[in-house]
Amino acid sequence: MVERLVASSQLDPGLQAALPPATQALAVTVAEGLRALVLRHLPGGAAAVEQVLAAQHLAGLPAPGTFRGDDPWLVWIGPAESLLLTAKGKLADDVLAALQPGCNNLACAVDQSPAWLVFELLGAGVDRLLPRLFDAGAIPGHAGQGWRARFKDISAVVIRLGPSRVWLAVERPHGSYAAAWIGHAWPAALA
Amino acid sequence: MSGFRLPVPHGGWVDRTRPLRFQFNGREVQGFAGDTVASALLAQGIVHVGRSFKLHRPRGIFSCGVEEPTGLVDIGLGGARTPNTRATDIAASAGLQAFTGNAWPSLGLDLAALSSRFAALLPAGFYYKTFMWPHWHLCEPVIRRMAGLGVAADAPDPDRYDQVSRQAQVLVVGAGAAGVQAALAAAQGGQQVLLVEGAAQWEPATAARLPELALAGVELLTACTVVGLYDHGLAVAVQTVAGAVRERLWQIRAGRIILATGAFERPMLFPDNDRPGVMLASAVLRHATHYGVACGRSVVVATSCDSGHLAARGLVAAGVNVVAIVDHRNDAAIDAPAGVPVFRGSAIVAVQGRRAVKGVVVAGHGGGAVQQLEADCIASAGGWAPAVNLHSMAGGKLRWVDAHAMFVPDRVAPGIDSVGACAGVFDEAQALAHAAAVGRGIAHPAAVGQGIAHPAPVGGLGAVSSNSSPSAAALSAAGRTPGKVFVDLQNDVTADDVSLAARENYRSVEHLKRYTTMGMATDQGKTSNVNALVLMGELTQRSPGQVGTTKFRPPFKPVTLGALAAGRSGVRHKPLKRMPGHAWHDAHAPVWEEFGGWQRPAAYPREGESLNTAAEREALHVRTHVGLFEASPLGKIELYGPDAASFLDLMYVGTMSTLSIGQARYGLLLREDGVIFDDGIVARLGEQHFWVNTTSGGAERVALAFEEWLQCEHVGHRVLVTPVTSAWGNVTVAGPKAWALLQAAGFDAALAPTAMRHMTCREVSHGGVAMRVLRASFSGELGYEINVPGQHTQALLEHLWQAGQPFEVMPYGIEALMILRTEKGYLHLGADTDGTTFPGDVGLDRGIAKKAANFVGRRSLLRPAARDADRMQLVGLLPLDRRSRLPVGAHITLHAPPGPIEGHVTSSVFSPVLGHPVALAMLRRGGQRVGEHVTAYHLGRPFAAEVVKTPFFDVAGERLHG
Repeated sequence: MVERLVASSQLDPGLQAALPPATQALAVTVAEGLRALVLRHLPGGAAAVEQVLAAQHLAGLPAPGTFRGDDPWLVWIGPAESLLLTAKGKLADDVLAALQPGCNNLACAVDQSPAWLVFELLGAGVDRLLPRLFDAGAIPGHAGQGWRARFKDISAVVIRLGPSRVWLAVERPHGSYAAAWIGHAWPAALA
Repeated sequence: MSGFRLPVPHGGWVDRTRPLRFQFNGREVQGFAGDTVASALLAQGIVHVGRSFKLHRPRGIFSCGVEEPTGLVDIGLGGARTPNTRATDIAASAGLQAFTGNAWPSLGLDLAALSSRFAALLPAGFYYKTFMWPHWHLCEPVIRRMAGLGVAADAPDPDRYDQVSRQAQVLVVGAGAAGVQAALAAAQGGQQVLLVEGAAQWEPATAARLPELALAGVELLTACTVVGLYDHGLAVAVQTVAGAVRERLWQIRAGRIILATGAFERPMLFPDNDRPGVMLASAVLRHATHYGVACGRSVVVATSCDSGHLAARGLVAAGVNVVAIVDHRNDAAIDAPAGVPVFRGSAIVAVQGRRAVKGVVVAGHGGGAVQQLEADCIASAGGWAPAVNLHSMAGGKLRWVDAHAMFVPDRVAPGIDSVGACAGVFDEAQALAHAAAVGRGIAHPAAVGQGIAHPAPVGGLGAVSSNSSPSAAALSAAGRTPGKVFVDLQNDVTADDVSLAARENYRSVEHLKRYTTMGMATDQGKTSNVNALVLMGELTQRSPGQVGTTKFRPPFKPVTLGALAAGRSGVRHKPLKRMPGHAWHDAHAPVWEEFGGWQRPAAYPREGESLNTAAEREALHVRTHVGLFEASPLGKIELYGPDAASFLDLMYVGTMSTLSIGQARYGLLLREDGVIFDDGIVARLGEQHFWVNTTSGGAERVALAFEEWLQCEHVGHRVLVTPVTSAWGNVTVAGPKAWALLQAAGFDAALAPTAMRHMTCREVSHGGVAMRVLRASFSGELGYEINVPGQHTQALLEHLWQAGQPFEVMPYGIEALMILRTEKGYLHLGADTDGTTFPGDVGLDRGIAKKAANFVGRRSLLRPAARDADRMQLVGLLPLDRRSRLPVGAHITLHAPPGPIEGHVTSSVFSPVLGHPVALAMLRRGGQRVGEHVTAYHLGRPFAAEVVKTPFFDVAGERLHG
């Protein structure tokens, strides 16, 4: 009998060390245990996705430049693509099962959980930190806004959960790079 | 010149209660908080601060701002050293170290100054004409060493730099009177306004209006210079800040930009006008009023406009002794200060003193008797040049106003306006009214149909002579050979150089610049351009407007590389990706290298091993035992949809729609021109579901190409393209004992080579984790590419490592993989191919003719160029001596170079299993030349080799079946 393979930590120790220490004005953590599903649909396939979401008692697909919900969070990525983030494993499994390739001709869900690393930024200093990482026009200013944006030289998804709470999702292989930039911008944002 | 500090109340910008000390060339200098390095030096009577670029003539402080051409110093030590900063633009601070960067062994005794003895040999463009014998390259190092300015830092920069992006409805650049007026008008009209000012302190008039600005909600930034304007209202500014960060780079997106950048004073032209102590009149005045510094005890004002007289009045009011005004013109609209003699229709024809001005000789333009005046400072006022740099950078045009001898903004760029002196408006009342109108954004009635919303009331300077040179009669009156008349002080360009350029027909302003170096380097001609253009115009019978200006380019003033990089150093320099198994490899002490944007183990050297020997050991071990390799960077894309199969047929050279579920096939992707741009394996997971592997560096570009074709060409195809490279790790097990290892690790018997054929794919569950296992091989050995969810990669590597101990499993890196694939003659895109390689060149055109479906690039393969029998083809090369490793890039020629190139070596390794080097090469008609002996040349050394077929090893290809 093969022993069960144990997943690595969300965060490798080097990356953890690169994150700056929290202050009252600003804190950063990695949102552990989040699942990330990419929901895709072809023309005519949106209804299939909406149906699966409804079965999970979720509101429909988000409008451009916004996200919907509070665990799960459904973020608009493009006209035919949304990113579902959730800490609820069963919900993610159910959505995945309902939309796995082959279930519907015109829509599918792909589990991208291992691909994403989500940084949670908290505190009043968020609005001084983000302009050091993103173009000012790419920063969601209000809770409920979220989109894909350029974070220095990589792609990221940035969503504003609240006035002082922002999620910054990057591809996991870029985790160290993202952490290094957050750490670099930190002192200036707090100054 | 012997400058000194004026008593209070002069010098509102310095705080005399906060004295400070710094070093200049090792000499202690005293100053006050608020001083610049220049003002502190001048206050202490230090006038000689540098040496010129080419002739190493003594030079001093010339201006009082960013336009400074000669007062250049290096600041700081070691990694913090910043060369070529303007002493007039750097705040003096306690402990600061400033150095002259262009003198050896010392400023006073500069041996390179001997070059001025041979100045006749160093005219404009001398390096095109002289030092050609025996060879230019013998002279070049000496000339370059002598001509350099400043010394670069010799260690990593220890300072921190910040970068901030922000938006503004209205950005106003410059907080002079007009800028403030425009900002207030815009803010009072309900606009959100950001006002940036390059100086660290406010002008007194601006300071008085700060409450108004605050009330209107105008945001202010000081010590912040806009250095570039770009498309779509993007302004880039650099701010000097105190504290942990040294400089901040602002990227400001503005809906509207109002430029209020002022004007630069134009110097007078006269012999030896470069001597330390010759300064712009506005600079002499500003040093007195703002820093409380008298730049000399006896000042002569040389002018060709009314502002020289205004400067003289200001100096007298500040308590500076003005001994005379030498006016180029016969009349002035402004009276001279009481008691100051005025020499009208006259010019300075000689300057006495070498390292400092000691006196001047004045003569009338009509000749006659000369007058000798004792002076230690010459204040030069030759008119004004509006600072049109940013306007021009943004695409605005210029026009020449002859009455005032200046270029002013003409056709404006959309969303960008100029106000005040930078618009050519020097009358204060008119400037304020114009600025207010611009700020409010209300079109001027006269502008209807003109394409200009707010025409500027240009003028207010009075009559200005464009030519400020002494007449020939005046020069001859001096009775001796006149000294050099410098047009561009920073680059040692003289009036004679401009004349030479005109004689040699370098009439275009761009040619004039390149030929003479006029307007280059750190000041970009801020004080020299107009004088040079006027001279060129006179020499070629054109107006300055017809001569035109060179293109203004960012940055407006020199910017440190640190500010531009803004933190992009070390791990932040480039987004290098980490593999999910990174920590596992770290524990096995690899040599990390970058491959295709990923950090990957090149090899795992043991003590005493080089990278090559480690790679050869690892490669041999894979041939004899089993190896573990992480291939997570391999591009992975999931394709899903009713038309996925037919879409892949359109994209790949091969046919993918005939794959049955669980089958995999190698495929080539071409550009429309038929050139190979990526390759990889496509596996069918379901009827409408495919798993596409790309090269490691090609994942993004292949996904983008798929999307582009779907969105732009094959729009009817219903296919979803989802890149999943980051979601999946890939652990490759290769070698004759690969299956034995997997079996020992508990993998399902369905993966046994007897049950699972080469180029097939299975979805399995192992250790509770769903995996996608592909039987494929880039080593030529039995191979399993196990795709596993990223977070399980480390656990799988460790699991296989433990299970593999009885089989002496060994990790291998990229270098070993390159040996293995070269032995097999497998293609490595980017190494064995380039931007011209067609499938037929690398033997991968089988089946193209039979393929029924069209595919990207097919048409191009039918063109004669693709079918040319003379094309280069991929072949194997074996060194004749079986010892010499052929260098990659070595050129194959029929005779020793130079000669027509027959081909080049693309890959070369020492094969540990064969015991000799092997190589791949692109060779003209290579397929027909097997058995031929060729010679590859590398840096003059010949390598004899035999053309052979590949593979070099396991010709029958049996080993990959296990």
